Amino acid sequence: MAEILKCTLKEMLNKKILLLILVLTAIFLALYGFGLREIYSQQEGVEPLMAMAATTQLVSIGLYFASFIIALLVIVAAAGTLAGDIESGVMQAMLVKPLKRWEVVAGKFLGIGLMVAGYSAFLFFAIIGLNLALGARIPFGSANLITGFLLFLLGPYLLMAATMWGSSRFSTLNASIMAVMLYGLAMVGGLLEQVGAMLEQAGQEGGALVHAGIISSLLLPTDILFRKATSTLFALPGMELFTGLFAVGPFQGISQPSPWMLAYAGGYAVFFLSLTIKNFGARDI
Amino acid sequence: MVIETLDLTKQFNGRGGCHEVNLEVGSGKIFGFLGPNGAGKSTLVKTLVGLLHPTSGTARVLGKPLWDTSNKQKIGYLPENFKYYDWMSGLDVLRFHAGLYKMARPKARIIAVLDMVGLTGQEKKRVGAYSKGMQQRLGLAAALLPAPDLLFLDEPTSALDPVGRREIREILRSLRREGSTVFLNSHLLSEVEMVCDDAAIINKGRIIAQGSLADLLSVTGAIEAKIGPPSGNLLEILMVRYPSVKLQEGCLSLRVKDREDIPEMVKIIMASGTPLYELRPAANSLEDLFVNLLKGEK
Repeated sequence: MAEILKCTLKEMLNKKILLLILVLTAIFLALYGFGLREIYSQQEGVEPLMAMAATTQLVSIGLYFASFIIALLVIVAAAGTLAGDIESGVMQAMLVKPLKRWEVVAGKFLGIGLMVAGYSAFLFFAIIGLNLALGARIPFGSANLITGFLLFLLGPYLLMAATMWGSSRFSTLNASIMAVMLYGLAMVGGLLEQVGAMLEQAGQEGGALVHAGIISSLLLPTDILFRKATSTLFALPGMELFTGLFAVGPFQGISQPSPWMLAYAGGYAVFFLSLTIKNFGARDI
Repeated sequence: MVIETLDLTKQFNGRGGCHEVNLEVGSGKIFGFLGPNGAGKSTLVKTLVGLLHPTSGTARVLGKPLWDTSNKQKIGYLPENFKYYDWMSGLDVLRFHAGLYKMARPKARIIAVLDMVGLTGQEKKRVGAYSKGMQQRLGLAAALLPAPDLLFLDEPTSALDPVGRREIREILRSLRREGSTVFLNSHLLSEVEMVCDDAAIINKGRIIAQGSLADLLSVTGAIEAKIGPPSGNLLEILMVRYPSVKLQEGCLSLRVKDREDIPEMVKIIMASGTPLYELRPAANSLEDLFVNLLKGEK
């Protein structure tokens, strides 16, 4: 399994798309930093609480876009990791060696997982670091940051498990399409859920939208995990009274996942990873 | 037996593949597996190496059932349609495969297999820059890494020039000398004829002939004799006993019913005063056998 893990990591580093993603990431961070500098330079005289609320919005926007790029990276890496190697013939020479098929799946999952964890950590802390460096006055605690990051990372792992399942069953192209569709559904469903929750807060009818969001979260609970990550990040120590204020906005979490939904998300990854191992084990190569 | 199959069947949605294959491959032999395109050759090989799951039947490879991966340490396999990561160098590929074989110190063996397949000096080039022939050599090098007890080669010379083919044949012969068994899947009949000890022919998924190559190529009861100009009415006398008799450029060919007919035939020739220079069982070429067997199947 260690050989597959090492090879997967090296393969990722050799993909031209990774270079493209890194260039785009640099452009995104430069643009985002420029925007932050313009905004934070005008916060003189703003109420500290309102400045903090504005920061939560800015951080959430940055993280939302970051989660989008990470999702693209996950799909690019995971959709072809099994299907691509089967289609090209690489897998034939690999699977006749003294290793179990589950080791191939686990090695590839861990290889992509390590790269995604590294890239996600870089983006997550770069966004928060840019905010803090350019004028944000918000007292993040280390526990907020660590828990927030882990929840932020869980979303891409769920997407990776679902995409690898697709890769064990379909062609690279079909697995990519399936993953993009699932991710898109989860994104749109998540936005609908937030809009529904906002309407309900304003005394309007938003239940149907909230339910639509919950159903989309069952298909792929990435969006709900993102909301949980930002709300955890902004549950600032000693400022619990203002958590509601910090949760307002389409990129934050007015509607929060229930513990059942979080348990479902955990089970989701395990389920799809197990199914990938089962499919790949039974597949004729 | 190194390979034993019992009614091994692999079908795809009830069609194609191979059907009720019963095969025995002995140790230290080069076994040729022949068949026309689409006959099920690669399907059987892929089933034996564990890439395809059999529909029914059983098989043992190096004494282990197909699902057991513990024997894979001693099995080499060169697939027909394979590829290696083109961002790797040839050396990276061999290191990677040595890692998959869990080889502790592979450096010396990597140098040895590179030399065996004639890739020494090319190992640092990226696989993407290799010609098809070089990739095939690299594939063979990867298959040879564990000094396999059993080597499966699926069309190993399809991309090689005549010199390359000869080199591969030499490698196969040296493996046999070292006691390895080679399962050679090929549609190049001349190649099989040159190196194989035993062979099987598959058509439409079923084995239609198998045995030692010598047995397969000998035609039962067919005799060839080199004689001088026939004296008297030799041909007429022979025709009475052996209606299939033919004389062409001093070569008398006929078919006898059993072994006891042979001394009788010699007596007739000698009695006629015709000189007899040579007597041997007639042999098919592999191509003749192959074509005749396939014709018989139609």
